[in-house]
Amino acid sequence: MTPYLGSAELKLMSESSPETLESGKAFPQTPWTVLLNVRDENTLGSDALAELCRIYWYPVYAYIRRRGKNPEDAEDLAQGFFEGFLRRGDFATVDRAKGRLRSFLATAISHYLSQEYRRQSAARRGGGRPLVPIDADEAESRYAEEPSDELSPEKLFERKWAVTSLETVLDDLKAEYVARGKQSVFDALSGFLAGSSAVESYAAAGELCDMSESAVKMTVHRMRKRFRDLLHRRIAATVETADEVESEIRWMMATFAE
Amino acid sequence: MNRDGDTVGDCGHTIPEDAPLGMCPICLLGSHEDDSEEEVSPENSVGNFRIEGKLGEGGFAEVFQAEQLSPVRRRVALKMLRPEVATTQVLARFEAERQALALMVHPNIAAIFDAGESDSGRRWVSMEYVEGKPITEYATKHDLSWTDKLRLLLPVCRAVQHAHLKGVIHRDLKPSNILVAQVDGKAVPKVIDFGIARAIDASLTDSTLYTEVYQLVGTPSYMSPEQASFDAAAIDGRSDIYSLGVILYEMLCGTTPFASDPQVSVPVMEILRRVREDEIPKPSSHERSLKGDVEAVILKATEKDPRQRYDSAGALADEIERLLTNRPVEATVPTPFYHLGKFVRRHTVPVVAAAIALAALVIGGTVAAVQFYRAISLSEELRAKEVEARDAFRNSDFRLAAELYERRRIGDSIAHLCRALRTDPDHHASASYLLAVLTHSKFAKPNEAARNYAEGIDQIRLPVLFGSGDFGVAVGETPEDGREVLVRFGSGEAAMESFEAGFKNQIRFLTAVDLEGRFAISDGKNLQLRDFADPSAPSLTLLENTEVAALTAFPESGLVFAGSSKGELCVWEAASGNLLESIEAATSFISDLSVGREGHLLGFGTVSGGVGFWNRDLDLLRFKDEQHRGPVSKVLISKSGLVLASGDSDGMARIFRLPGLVEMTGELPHGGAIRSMAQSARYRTLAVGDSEGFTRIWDIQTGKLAAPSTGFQKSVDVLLSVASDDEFISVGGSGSVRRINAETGYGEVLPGSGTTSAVALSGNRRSMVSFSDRRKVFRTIALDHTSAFPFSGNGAAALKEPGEAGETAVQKVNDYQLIVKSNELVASLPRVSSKIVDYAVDTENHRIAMLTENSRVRIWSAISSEPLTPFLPVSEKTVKIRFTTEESLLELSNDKGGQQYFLIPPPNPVLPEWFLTFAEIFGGKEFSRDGDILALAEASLETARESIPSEAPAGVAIDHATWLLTEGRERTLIPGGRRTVAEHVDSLLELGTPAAISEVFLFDPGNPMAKERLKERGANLSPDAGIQP
Repeated sequence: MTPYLGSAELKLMSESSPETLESGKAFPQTPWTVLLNVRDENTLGSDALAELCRIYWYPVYAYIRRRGKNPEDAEDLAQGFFEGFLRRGDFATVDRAKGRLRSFLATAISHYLSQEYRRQSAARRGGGRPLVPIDADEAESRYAEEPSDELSPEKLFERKWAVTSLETVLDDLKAEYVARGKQSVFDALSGFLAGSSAVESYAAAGELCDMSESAVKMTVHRMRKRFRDLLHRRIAATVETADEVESEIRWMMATFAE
Repeated sequence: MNRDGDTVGDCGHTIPEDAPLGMCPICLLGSHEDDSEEEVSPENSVGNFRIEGKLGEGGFAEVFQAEQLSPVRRRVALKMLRPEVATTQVLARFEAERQALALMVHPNIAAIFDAGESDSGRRWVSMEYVEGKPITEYATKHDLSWTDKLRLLLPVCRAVQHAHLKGVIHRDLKPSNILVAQVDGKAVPKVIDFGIARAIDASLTDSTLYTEVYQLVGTPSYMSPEQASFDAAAIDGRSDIYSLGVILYEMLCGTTPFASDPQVSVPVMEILRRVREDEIPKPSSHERSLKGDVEAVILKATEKDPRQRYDSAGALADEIERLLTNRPVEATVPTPFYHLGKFVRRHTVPVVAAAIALAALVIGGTVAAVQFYRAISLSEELRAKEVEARDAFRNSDFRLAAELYERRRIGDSIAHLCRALRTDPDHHASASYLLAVLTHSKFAKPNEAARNYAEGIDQIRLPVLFGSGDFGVAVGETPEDGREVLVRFGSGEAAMESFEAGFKNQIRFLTAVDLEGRFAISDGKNLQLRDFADPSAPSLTLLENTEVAALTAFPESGLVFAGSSKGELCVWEAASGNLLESIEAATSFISDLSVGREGHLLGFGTVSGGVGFWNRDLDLLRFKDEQHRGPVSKVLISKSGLVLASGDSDGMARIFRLPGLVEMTGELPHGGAIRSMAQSARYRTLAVGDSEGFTRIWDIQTGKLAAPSTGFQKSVDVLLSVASDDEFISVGGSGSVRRINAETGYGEVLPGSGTTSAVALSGNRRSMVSFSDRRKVFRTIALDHTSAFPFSGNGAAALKEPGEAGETAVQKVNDYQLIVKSNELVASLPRVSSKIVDYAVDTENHRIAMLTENSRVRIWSAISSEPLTPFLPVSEKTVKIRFTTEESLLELSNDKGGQQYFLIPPPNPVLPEWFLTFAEIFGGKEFSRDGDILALAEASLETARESIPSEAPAGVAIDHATWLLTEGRERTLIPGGRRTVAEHVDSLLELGTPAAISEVFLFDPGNPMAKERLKERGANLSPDAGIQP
């Protein structure tokens, strides 16, 4: 019920480099819910939120594209959306009962698009440097690869949200291994993260990276554990209370099962 | 990663095209539910280190593999002192070790990096982590020739020489302390763990104690004869040379000189005797090719008399080089005469008991001491020494048990006492102590077998209990569709049943509104009252489509309280569903509620950081906004209704005095958001749990830490205060349940509690139900299963007549110390830390009782000056103590002449072996053969009951076992006594005086008749009133 974090903890999420994630002890806390309550533009949370926005830029972009905008407009709109979101505290306008950044963004972006539509002022945003830098070309080439199936913009947003979350966690995990000079281990064994039937036996994998079978088991165990930790952390940053992490994970699973 | 064409994950779903890394996202997400048992590591990070696993442990320290995160990132071995042994002596020793290590810089010695103290106060040293195999294992695995083996050992000798030159002796050289790592394809041996290194230079440490405790530790097979003789004075660098000789012996012969059949466990003392006395079997008897120079070198290194060995490790190294280059060696094959007798006689210095005790502790896990003393006949001279060693071994267990009890590690304490009694069954002090610990400690104990979840139910949360804790309801989930259901559970045949919840949103609140089975439930929008009989049907709807921000109830008075998102507070009568009152208490979101004073007082906190209270009797509302910088996450009204504590998500707790809402103390800082709070009225302490896993015990009056913080729980989500008020139960995010002493903050993890996911406390706060989603089971745990209460009773026992004059006399030398005079012997009892208020003597049984200013009683032996009990808490009002004719009762008096009887162990108890097993089951811990304390997985009352032999003869043991296993009203007042608690309570009720009524509450806090009497009288008596006039 109560946001369970403090502004001090916002710093933690503001740098999502693997080091920071690793050195954090238990659970990083959700930076954005505090903003909802405090509604203070000068809060430390802006940075942390900006980081979250950077990560979840693509789902928003995909959503806008699926709403029929061309790449240029989509880029501008996404940019404008996040800019307003971060700078002006647009979140005040949204029903706060939805305790998750995901549902919040979904509602907010649709709200934003209809407002933009009404204004019809195609005046290019700009004048300032982009607040949330992202390679728009990359986003567009990613979008081009999306299957043009019948997913609604909302569904697509949710789907991309889930994929992005997972990718980010996997990237973080990989970065940790790379930092320790163990990329080969990650490459050889990350397949076990999703269970074992899809990949070779532990023994076979062990041969690939010169490890005994039991060492492989142990490494996979640790890798899974670390993956879980990072996943929980990542998701915790987008929900209001710790209790919601599990249900968010289940929601993600449901998204993929559809 | 998936194989070509294989696009279906383990879960059976098609892997979507956009799956990250081509892995099935559902399996990936599902892996977070991986059922792998995580070991409960005490701390997963210390300062700059992330702990990755345990490498090993000794008597004093544990060694972890860890990753240093800054300033450089590297793998280290992190040695952490065990918190329970952190006495001044050991700290000094640890400090000495650190300094000793820092002196040495050598490529073949593992480097020391840094040292410090963890947040929880544990000392640590970080050392170079050596990834390698023990030298003997390496040699065997790589099938090294004997010359290669010599080449491998050569740098080790040089390294040891280096250490010796720096004044450091290793003292525990053995293959597992010499690891061979591969560096650039070359085998590099490294000496690790100068764990018991003693610097020759005395100036290394200021503490003289350090040298005392350092007398003898090591590993028997590699120990030199002088070490095996407990002869500290004779130990120098040549002891290490002996050990190197044994290692060389083992590398070349494949076995150590005094190795025995690995199937037969040889007691440590026997190995030590062989090391001291037996001739080393010639290497050539194992391996004929060693005859000649190699044999001569080994035998010279392993001479019994240090003076016959090589002068230095350098000399041994030179000799090895000569062997390798086929030059003549210095050593010659010695005559068979080993000067043993002389050596032993020369060094029969008095044995330092502490040294042997420590040796026994460090190495002695494998000692089946009792068998050993019976099985082996020893020479006269050694026999005395062995007895001394046995006593020392027993004493070390006894002392450690006392220390562990002080830290409320009761299970560990019992395990040590049982080992002391197995070593020496006639040690009355240990037996007496054990009985005192068993009868005066709280044991949280599963009192029935674990019951399974209902089929297809998972994720139990928000459990509540009714009655005396035997049935309840909770929210569960069906894993297949993630649907929320209500479950009800009990002890009957169908342990758990599920019902439709009927809410659109997630259920956020569930609370019991009476003890009969009614509960309030809300999804944050609707608030309904329902019944255990049919949990799916709302019996009354209190709110519809209104935001419910916080919910609580006071089951004893049948009241339900809710706070809204707009700051309103409402109170309903549960029976009728009538809204009694509502009030606009604040302007923002109510984040938490707490009820006090029989439901007349409601404390609340808001997300705007405000705190307030509403006294419905006085129609008084007080609210102060922005008392906290962050949203208030937790509020607690004290039992007295005089204090309000609040905590916020910034990690700050505050204490306010009511009704003024004036802050009583400074801020109580925590490292993470406040998650939970509980209060002990008895000790005036407040336990606060935070998201970082720390529980801090604060003094409510002063706002100071009342005890060291306990950490290690990931996050402390639940804190409960049990009926007796002297213990908190904490449940952490890591799944373990801890019992924490409300006064000292010390506590221990409940054995087998590692996977707890939810708990509920019964209305009488005497039992709880714990749920484990991982194991899909739940079980009832009695929270204060044992514990003797002091009781009144006119003339239950007569006061003991003072003994014959001159027999035993006790005198107070000063406020803190007693001396005992008997038959011209004068002994002093150890100084105590709190002033002695009163004392009594039992001349017949040579016992002394002592009452201290902090209201503790302790019994001592007048003969051995050993304590016979721990310091046991008594009522604060006690001013006088006397022994009685009833041997196991002490009389306590208050200043108004009121009396109580207090249970103490009978004099000179003898406990049979089965009782020790019984006690271990009760404590949930036992020693393994390797000397580690293990948690007994299936320790329950049932298994304890089964451990009592049917033919056990009457006596102290069976009396106590029966008493411990009997609960509540059926139990007799004292073990072996006739009068039951039920009879006693009845007579108290009949008596009906305020004093008698309040004593009833001691035995039965919820006794309805006593409550009634209390109401009739309108007396303002609290259940914990203590000794009555």
